[in-house]
Amino acid sequence: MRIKSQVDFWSAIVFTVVGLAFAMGATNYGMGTSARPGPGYFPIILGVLLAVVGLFVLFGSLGQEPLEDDRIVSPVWRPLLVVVGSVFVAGFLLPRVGMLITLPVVIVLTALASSEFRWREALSLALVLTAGSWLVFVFGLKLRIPVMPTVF
Amino acid sequence: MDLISNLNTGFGVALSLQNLAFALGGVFIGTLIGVLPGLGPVPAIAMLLPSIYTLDPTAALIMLAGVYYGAQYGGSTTAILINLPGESSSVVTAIDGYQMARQGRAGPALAVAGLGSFFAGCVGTLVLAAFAPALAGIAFAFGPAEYAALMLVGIIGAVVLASGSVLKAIGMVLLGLLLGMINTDALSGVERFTFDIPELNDGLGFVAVAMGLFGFGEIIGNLNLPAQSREVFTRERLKTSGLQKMTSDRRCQPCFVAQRSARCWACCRVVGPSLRRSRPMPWKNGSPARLSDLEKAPFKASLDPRAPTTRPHRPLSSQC
Repeated sequence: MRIKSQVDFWSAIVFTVVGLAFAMGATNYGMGTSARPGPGYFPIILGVLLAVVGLFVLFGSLGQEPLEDDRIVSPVWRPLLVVVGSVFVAGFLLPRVGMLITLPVVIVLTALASSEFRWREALSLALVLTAGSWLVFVFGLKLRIPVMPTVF
Repeated sequence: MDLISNLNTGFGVALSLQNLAFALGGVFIGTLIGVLPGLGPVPAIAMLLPSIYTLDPTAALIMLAGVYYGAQYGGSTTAILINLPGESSSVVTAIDGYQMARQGRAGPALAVAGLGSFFAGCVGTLVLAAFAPALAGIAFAFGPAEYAALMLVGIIGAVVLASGSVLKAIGMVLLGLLLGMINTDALSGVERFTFDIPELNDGLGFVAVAMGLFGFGEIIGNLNLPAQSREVFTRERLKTSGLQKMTSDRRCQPCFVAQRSARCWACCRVVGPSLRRSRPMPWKNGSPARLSDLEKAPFKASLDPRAPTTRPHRPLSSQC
């Protein structure tokens, strides 16, 4: 048996794994009854349903003739990891060192995701965007965003 | 007619030049704030509340109404141009509007969103004014069973309206419901799937989920492609009107004409996604020699139904 549609195959895997993970994680929460559902009632049922749907999609994705349209090209890891990682860095840094340090770091980091990275462009972009963000969010809208590190 | 005379009184108060100016100012500020992803009508009003304390009540209410509607419309701008729905209401706008922008029709998409907002706002207000007493009775009759039924209709509607595989649509609905399970259980107060992170007690923010799915998926998917086959927006033609002309001409012409890498980078990465285009170019090796060549470019939007977001239509040039 070969995989007919790689897109369907991998989305089926995601469905099944996520569904099972939610269902298993919810077993600690107490099932309750249908009339008086406990905190785990909906997650368990929905998780199992999702896993079942995933299995159906999985069976549908198998077949002899591979579909050229549904092939998944091998992912390029650098943009994926860098873009997602820079969000984590932003979430970690912003409450700790404030906006004026976080934004340039995150912007330069995100620019590294592109294969055409150039320092000059990244730095000027960081400068412009940081100044713009400060003007709009802190100066203009007076949002309560930490601007500087709190140690000072 | 009670309704007519009441509306007449209302318009008599609201239609003074001063109040209209307040409405205009409110819509303007509201749209500006609404454009920022994640800031919708409610934060916009909350931020502007202190500034209207000094106004008289009528003007203040009119201005706040303007801010509200402006902020609601503003969210559709980023949804159409960069596929980032800032509010829950603009997610649907992102689905269709972004595809229009990809075909070089960002201007019409923005206009449709604006006109749609205007029409729906007018009709909605009129219906509310006409039927508010009757509707209030129905609203009181809405209990848990009715809300559950309404949600079911919404979920079934999401599955029916989804294009492509029905099974996968059901799967995504279930996945969304499961993501909604990350919260504090309403009945028992048990914190579910929070991993002891206090921020998750209230559940995942809708904007965070929407941005991750729409915006980040688009960015990462685009960076996955080699630069040559990456999809880049430009304007559809030089002589267009309004916002499209403003954004496209000034920023993307340098990209074509000068081929300066720095500008090109800014054009394609920052403002570029808003102005992508998918139409064959008449000139060779990627860039037009003169500005006048741009004007001769035929406008032929690609209506290829098999052109999903992850598949580029055509390389524009080696640099963009």
